[in-house]
Amino acid sequence: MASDRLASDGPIDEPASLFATFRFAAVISWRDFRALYRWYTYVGGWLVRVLAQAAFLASVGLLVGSESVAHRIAIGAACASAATGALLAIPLATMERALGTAAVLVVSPAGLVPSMLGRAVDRLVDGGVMSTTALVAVFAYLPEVQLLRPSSLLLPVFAVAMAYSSTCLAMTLAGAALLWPDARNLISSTLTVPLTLLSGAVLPHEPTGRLALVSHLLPLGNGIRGCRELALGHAAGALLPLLGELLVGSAWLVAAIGSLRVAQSWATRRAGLV
Amino acid sequence: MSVLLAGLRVQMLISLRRVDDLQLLALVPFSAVLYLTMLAQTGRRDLAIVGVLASYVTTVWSLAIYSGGDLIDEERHTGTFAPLLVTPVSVARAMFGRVLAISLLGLVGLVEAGVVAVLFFHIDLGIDRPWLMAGSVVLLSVAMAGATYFFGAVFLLTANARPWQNAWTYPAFVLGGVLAPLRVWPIWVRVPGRLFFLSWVMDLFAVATGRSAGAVLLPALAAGGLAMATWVLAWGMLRWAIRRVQATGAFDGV
Repeated sequence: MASDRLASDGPIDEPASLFATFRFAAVISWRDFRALYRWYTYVGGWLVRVLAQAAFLASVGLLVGSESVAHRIAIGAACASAATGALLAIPLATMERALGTAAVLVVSPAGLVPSMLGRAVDRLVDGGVMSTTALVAVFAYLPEVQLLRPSSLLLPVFAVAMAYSSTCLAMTLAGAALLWPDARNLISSTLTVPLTLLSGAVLPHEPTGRLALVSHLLPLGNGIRGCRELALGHAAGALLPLLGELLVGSAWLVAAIGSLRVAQSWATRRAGLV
Repeated sequence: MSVLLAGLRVQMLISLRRVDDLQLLALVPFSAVLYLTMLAQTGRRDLAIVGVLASYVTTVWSLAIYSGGDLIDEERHTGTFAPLLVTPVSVARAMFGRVLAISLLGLVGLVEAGVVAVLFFHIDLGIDRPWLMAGSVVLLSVAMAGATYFFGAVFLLTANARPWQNAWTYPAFVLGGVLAPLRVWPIWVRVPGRLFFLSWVMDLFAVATGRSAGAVLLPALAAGGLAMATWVLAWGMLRWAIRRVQATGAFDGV
């Protein structure tokens, strides 16, 4: 029985048991998500906001009288919607402290890592849905982009890939937020601006030099390039950026695991997270 | 007057200790960098003032939504809402100073964004008509205080308003023409936008900064009228909601 894997007298490191904990935490995150939103609060509260966010940022192009800039930023901002949802993983991780369950997770046999990562799965879904909606809306709105073609089927794939990498970045910083929960919203909000700028999401021109290198290493950067290729109708040219986004996401996943382990070790030594 | 000053003082003390309020102010330099970088990359450094004003306006609006929404919630949370209802001063009057304080706090954001533009982007902000600018800021602060009042009333009336807080941010910035003026937006944005005081205040800012040679009287009257309407609506909603709470005893949610 799957639940037996969760019972243990000491720390567990068996992959199947860790995955069982992860899966259990993912189910809880999904139920929390469903308890937080009704379909109408999600559509009216979140989706309207991300569409307006993309339009607002793109309006810099309208301000300077350049349609091409507006269209470029609209695609980038639609991609950045994935991060808007994903970065909420940081404040949501600290919910465990507010509920008084963080300390229990630290001393549990599976430890903090699988349960925290599992609790962030809803952010992946949320970010993916938000970015897909925004990208479809932007592709449908822009006159020079053709939405109804087979390559557009890659849009949700890109959205989920960008939500994945952004969630992993968020979980890297969630370890710090767990230790200083008062800073949870500050960490997540301050991260948004550097991420959208350095990834090139809202820049009117393609980043060059060191900035281009940084944009390749951050979540969103490769995904945005891929989506802009899709807007031009170059499906083949989008595959390499997709792979890049997934690789960057996986690198941040390793960083997230390391960060959560540090938080666990700190909390164990100092009896923190209470 | 003493109630007003007490409300101002209490809210200032709360906001200066509240991480969420301070966070909004801490984010101003970041948003200023975002808008100013975007504008600098397009080669239009002459429009930098738009980036500065956008940072200020988005901050003061966010303060109205989040702090205004939390006004009643916090009273409920700390168990002081029921005693507040039976004090000799009405809740609506007691809240008056508090919403003004939240709105005034937003002025810090204007200074922060200006400092970022001058120090880090070496931009001359170039305000053509300083008195009109100052008047517009005062008008915006009063209007935003009305909006804060409005959100406080909405939260008192609706126990489940929190998921909607997000929906009131960026759509309002679009309707207010915070970055690009309303005239460049499609008609379905322009019409509802003109029913929102922010779009008229942004027109006044455009004249004050020399980006527009338009009239001052019409936007000033429209912004003042709509700000007044926001105040009246919020005041009425708050009084009605409080009467309902007093009648039903539902102190934890109407």
